Amino acid sequence: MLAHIASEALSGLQGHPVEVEADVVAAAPAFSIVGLPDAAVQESRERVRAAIVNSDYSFPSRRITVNLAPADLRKEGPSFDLPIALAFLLATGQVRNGCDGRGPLAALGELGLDGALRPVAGTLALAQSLRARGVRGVVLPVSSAPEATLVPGLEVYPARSLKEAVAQLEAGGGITAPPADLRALLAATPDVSADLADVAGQQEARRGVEVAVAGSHNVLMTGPPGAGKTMLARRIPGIMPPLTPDEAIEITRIHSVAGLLPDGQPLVSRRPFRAPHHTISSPGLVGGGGSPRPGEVSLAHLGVLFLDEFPEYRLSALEALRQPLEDGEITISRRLASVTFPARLMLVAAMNPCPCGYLGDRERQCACPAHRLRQYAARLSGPLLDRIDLRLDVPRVAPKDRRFAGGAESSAAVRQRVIAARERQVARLAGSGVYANAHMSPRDVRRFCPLDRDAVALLDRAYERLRLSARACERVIKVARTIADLAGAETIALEHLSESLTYRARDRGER
Amino acid sequence: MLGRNVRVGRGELDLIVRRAGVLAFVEVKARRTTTYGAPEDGVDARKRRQVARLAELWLGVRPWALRGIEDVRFDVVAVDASICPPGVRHLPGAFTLDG
Repeated sequence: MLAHIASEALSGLQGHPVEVEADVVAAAPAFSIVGLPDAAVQESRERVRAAIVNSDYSFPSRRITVNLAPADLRKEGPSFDLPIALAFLLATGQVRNGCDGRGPLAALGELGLDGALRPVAGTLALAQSLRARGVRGVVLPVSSAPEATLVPGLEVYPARSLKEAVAQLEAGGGITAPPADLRALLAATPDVSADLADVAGQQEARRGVEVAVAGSHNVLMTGPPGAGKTMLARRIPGIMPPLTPDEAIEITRIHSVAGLLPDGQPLVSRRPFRAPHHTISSPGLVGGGGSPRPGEVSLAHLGVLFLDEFPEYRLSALEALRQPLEDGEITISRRLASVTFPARLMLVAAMNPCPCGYLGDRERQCACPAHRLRQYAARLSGPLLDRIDLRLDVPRVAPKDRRFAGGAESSAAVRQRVIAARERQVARLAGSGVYANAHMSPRDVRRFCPLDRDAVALLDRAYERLRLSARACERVIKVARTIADLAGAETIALEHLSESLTYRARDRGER
Repeated sequence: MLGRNVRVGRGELDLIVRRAGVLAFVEVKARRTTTYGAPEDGVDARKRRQVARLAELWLGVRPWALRGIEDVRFDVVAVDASICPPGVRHLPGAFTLDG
């Protein structure tokens, strides 16, 4: 007899419909799975066999053929265990499908040998895709259910085991999980990020970080060891605007596909802060693999990617960053698949001024020979530095400032100003598809960045004197736009542009 | 009982039996000593493949043999002749086409 169950496969973040068909006939016994299954899907046979027997169903000695259609799409991972088992039980007549006339139910889930259901990576993206193609509901593991309930309109039928999944199917959808309240989940997120008030001194760097966050600009902090670069960086998510529901869903999709959602937490409700070690490979950073997986740039989507010891990263990794920094997404092409992951992130890089760390320090002598300095600086290519809008000096804290640690402004106060500046940007950029000044297109820059007469004159002089590239010039204007937004001004004035230029002038060669 | 020592091509199926809706191809393996393992262990991957292939050939020219049949099995009957009287173990569904 023949039976089928709907399911879904993922390629990157994109879901594709998969029909799981099972055919059981009296012939020499065999259990085969066809339809371009990978190793994990082939192993599904053993899990399904054991789960069926251990759930007190019978596994008759017949020829069982399971087809995963369409046959040209590569099927990966263990999430087909449940639909295969259900299709098999339907085909052998041990289970009756209760969905007749009500629209079919899809199924997803990995089976344990005892019939227990295990969670599935990428549930959110799978559920969204099921909903988008009009599937009524889905039977899935209880631990994946909260994620699926984030998709409005999709009926979610959780099951702890194969037996419970069968009960849901026979009832045509029995006990449903209530839809999640996205706003309540976001509102209930406690603010645990470290406070900017802990950072002693560093008035200029603090201001620079505020500007960077307000316009989502990339920033490079340079300073001796122990000055507070890492401390500042870790406090950046705390001064970013709170996540909107749509942003939270986007981030959750990526983290879910990467299998990084913590147990019992269906939603990523804080901005990501990713700080990969400098030994990371370029596929690790931008994503890759035979069936491409998101890299750190995508995991930092709508959050912060912090690269400490910036020049120590592999050249290939740093250069691979250029395209996602420019486009806000990364396309990974492999033999079997080409997928696009979003990567709209704020890059926060930190480095020492030289290998020993004390170049330009007020009290300590730099011990680096000249050729080492050149080598160190040369590791960062011009095109990469060009994409970093703000260069900040984070000098060693003066003794009097160190004692006053704690008296500094809190994250909450800075965040208020950032939110106000972002609101101005969102209102201005409405309809252009971006939400922050850093992501404006050249056309947006011409439209939204009016400079007053003094500012135009200064920009012309700076363009010649600092030998800025056209892109650098555009980025200077974007940063000036953000500074004006922080000040609540609609036209970019001389003071905004000159502050913006100070963040550029600390360039290689100009120090 | 449908056949004993049935020759198919150049191979031989030890027993072909049916009861109710079950058709079974039985491989009988006897050993006089367990020094080299139990008799059922002697039905190795090559032997299993051979029996399965012969069964398919046998069924291929006798489609009517499947009439009224629901389950088809490959069984092993192990005869341990190291003890007296010999021990006989029946292992229903000992293997399938895919191993």
